[in-house]
Amino acid sequence: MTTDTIKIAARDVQVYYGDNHAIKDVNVDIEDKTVTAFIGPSGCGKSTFLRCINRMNDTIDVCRVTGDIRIDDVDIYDRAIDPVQLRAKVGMVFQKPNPFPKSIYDNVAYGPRIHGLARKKSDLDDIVERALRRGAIWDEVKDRLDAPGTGLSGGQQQRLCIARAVATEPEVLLMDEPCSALDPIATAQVEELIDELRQNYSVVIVTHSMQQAARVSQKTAFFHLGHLVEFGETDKIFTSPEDPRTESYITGRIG
Amino acid sequence: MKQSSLLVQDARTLKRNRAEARFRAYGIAAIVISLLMLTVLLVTIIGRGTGAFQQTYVTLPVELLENKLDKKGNRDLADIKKVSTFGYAPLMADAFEAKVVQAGIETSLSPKKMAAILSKDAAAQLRSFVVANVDKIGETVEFEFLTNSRVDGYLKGRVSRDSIANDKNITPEQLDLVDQLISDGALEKRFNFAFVTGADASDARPEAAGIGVSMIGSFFMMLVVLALALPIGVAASIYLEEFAPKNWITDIIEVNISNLAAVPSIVFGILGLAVFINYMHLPNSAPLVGGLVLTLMTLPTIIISTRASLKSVPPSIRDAALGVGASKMQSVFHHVLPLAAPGILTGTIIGLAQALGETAPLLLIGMVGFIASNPPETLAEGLMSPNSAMPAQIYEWAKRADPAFYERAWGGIIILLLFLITMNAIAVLLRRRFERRW
Repeated sequence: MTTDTIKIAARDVQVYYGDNHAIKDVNVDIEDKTVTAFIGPSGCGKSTFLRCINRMNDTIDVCRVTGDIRIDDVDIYDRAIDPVQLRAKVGMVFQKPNPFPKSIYDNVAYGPRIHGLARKKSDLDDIVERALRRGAIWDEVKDRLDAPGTGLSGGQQQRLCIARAVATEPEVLLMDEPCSALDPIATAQVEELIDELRQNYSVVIVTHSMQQAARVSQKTAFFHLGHLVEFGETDKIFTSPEDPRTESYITGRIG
Repeated sequence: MKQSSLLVQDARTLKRNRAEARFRAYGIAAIVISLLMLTVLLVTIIGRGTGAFQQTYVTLPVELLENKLDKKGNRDLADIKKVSTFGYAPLMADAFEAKVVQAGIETSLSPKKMAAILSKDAAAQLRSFVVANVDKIGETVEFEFLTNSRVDGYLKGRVSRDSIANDKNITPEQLDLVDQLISDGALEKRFNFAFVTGADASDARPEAAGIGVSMIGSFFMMLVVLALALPIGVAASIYLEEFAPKNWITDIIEVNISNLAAVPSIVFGILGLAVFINYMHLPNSAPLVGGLVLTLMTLPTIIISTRASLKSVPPSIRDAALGVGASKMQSVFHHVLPLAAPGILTGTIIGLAQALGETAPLLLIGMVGFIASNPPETLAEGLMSPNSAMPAQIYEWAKRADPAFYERAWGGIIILLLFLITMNAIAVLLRRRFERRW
């Protein structure tokens, strides 16, 4: 199932929001071409940690990150790293579908445009089509690429956002509870899509639904009160967890 | 528990319903009262102001006598210009004499007294025609002269035979002449385009005063305000809202901007006097200075409304842009600013409308007073030469003695209100047109 190549390596990561110590001593190795799920109760720090991986926390003034996060053995918190370049390499899909209030085409084309990925209009068209196909939404929108992205249904919007994220050819795709605003049918479509995305990307998904974690991921990390309590094969976490806190959580006693 | 029927309202429900009905009645009453006040306001303004848009004119053929205007007969412009407006008075007296004979009007007035029903502007009008058309000397030309403000008031009902008992500017005999000229068709009231285009006139000639030049003064001030306040205000807001770190310095700046918005406008006036005129030696009464002062006054309004509209753009849009690798500036200029633009424009238009109606700061930089300039011909002249502004002109008219000016003040208010209503309507339309839902 897994590939054993380490894509993201975190060592002794601490995150502070002002005086609040939100992430404590997190060490984790995330593999390439694998879906890794972060589970845990609300406020446990799983989203915070996810946002460290593409330095989205930089936009929060009071947030401070220490420790070491390496992607392909490059320290992403190095002074020489430009977070803007990093984010092109580490795409992100947010909890609430957030398409730009522009056309479907422009939503997907925006990233490639600002990164100069296409020289000609026809190249851009190809990139947009490829991204929308990867986002499993091409067939639904191919006849109305000029329609506003905000006019789509919730599930379609989220798949559009995934298409937008993959359009810049990232290597890692971070997903922050991508299905929490979707109905079960749209959720199923997105989950299917996540499984396909594993072919090309290293996917990290934060989810509140343990069933979802079990369905889509190969590795699972359980966070509790800022600590990474347990990390391992998804099957093992859900069938024979080692830590009593993990067991309590997956059996529904805490959370 | 006691079984109660849903068909019968209990005491609590009745009380609640009555309270709600009362509240609704208060609301309706409040709206009715404000609508009534608005109606009274509009009716008063329109009722008193429309008179300014009409003016009384006499159509009179005048023989441009060569022996009066060009005694040497050589059509030398320099000599013709030596004849002052006094030299033209006999021509008009003669014209009246001829008119009376031709129309068969009986009057005991001397020709000079007859000509006194004309505006003091009439001789100047005649003279400038002759200076411009030297070849017409010796011919008879038909002119439309303004009558003086008493005759105009008589036609508009402001002046009556009773009210002129102690008025040395007009006699009942002259009013008789006016009546006869009306029935002859030579004297009538018609639309006064000169009020919309003209310049202010001196105390003795209210009938010749217009708001046009001060309108141009207002226009140039608004140009300055728009060119300075919009870019500065928007740049300051974007920086404060999107880029500046949130710390005590930015907090102080924020508090001060809010305070500036509440500073009385006359304070900006005295600041403008001290800085722009006394220190920088910019000219007095210049729309440039007026515009600079109003820019200071409008900036806080624009900054506050721009920051509010930037704040109203959901953070998810910023996240989305940053998430695909846009820089901070790209996310602001590609996504946030376009979404905030309608709000920014609305705020700017409302700020401009505020500035357009502002008089107090102009008092201190010399834009309020009798400033009868000609319309400016170049941009630089428009900015630098002395001018007034619409509200300043209205104030100036309202404080003059002759009631004919009072009417013009109301007329000026109609024009000013038309501008303000148009600007606010544009703001509302923009808001409607670009209102977005996320």
